[in-house]
Amino acid sequence: MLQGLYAAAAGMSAQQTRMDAVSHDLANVNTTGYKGERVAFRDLLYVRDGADGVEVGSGSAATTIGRSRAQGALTPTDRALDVALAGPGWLEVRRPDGQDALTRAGALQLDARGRLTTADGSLVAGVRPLPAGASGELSIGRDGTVTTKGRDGATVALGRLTIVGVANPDGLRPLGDTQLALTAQSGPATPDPTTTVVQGHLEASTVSMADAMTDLIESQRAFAMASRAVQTQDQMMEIANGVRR
Amino acid sequence: MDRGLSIAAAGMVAEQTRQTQLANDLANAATPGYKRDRTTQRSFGDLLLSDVRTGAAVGAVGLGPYADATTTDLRAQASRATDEPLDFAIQGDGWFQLRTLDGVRYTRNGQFTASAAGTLTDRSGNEVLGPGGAPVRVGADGRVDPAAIGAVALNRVQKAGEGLFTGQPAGPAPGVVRQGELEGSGVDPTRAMVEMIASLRSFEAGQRSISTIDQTLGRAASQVGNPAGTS
Repeated sequence: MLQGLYAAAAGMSAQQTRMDAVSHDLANVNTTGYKGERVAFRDLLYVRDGADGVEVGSGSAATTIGRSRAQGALTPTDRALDVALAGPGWLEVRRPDGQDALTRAGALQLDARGRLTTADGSLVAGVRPLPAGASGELSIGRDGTVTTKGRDGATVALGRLTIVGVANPDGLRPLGDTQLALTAQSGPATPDPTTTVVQGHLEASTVSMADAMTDLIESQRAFAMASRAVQTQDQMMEIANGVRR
Repeated sequence: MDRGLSIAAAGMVAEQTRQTQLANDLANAATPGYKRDRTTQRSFGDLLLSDVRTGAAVGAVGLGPYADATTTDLRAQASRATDEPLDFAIQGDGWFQLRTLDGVRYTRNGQFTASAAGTLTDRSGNEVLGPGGAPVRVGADGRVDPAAIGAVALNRVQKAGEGLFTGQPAGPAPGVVRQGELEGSGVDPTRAMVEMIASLRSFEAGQRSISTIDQTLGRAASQVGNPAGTS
């Protein structure tokens, strides 16, 4: 008897997990380089109920299985230090605390010492600081090569953005500030030649407002239906209790 | 004692099973690739009543229903687009093959991810197998060719829980694997809600029958045999 009650409750809790994920996505609908969360549903174990061959399930469960791998739209910003990545790769940076991290948020800037950094001050790996007297106008090629004009107008190469890929991006550990750290589950970072760098653009969030709202509505309705099932189970127990008055 | 009591109780027990199943269906109304369950109810064998004096048959009396077997509605459901490179759906019949700790299992839920070794896995880390039985690899661009996954036809399909099924593979399936889509749940919410209400009322009717029979028996115990007007 009580199994139906718990099956329905498990369904409610699964929808709650999904609603949390969708809310988080909606809050990040304008976050540069943000990838939506993927929520996976599954049914649970089946157990025998009475006669042989009669099996009843125990509800459903939801787990987050990492992030969307869809490419976010490239939006032009006309700012020379904005770079977007087209492809699955990541930009390697070194955080102020010395830890290496990967990011796709390419709103770069130059610090007081002429070094190329991300918005939060992490150093971009593979690029040398601007030499004294350089113009400060950076040109970034599709392969990530960074060049500038020197004092005499000649082109000065500053190195190359380090674009890497990992086997399992869902294994990356989020560090906040849209940065992620390598773990044993993600596999090592390897150079990724398939990803190209687009200067003057930023990658928009992969969250689509329309999809997220549809998910939210669907989730809410599924939640309501599971809660109706809880109510019905409760009513049935009340009726069963009424057999002996 | 009265046969009616056990008949009504059997009906209530059978409705309980149906109700548990409906609760499970409703909990999985949004689970991709979920297949809805149905429990068939059967009547216990009928008894033939006969007149004890003449031996003439009076007629049959049923002994109430019981939950007999669970069948799963395996029909393919409509897919919805997710535009996620590692979401797959099989259009038409067929099953994805997964290598689990308990051997090969099958699923219609194509919400996959990648392992650190670069193979395609489900959310529990079970490797997705290709048509040849070898694990499917995720390309350097983070994508998988849907043709590399391949759908297999199955006979004697049974639910194993956790979205997995067991069965006898029977060669390649006619279904086509499509990327960026997920198969919807097989639960029709409206129908499940209506069945839930019907089942609840049927359960209630069983309870009322028991109460009524109880009252009748009560009268029989306390009133029959009393002189008129003394009860």
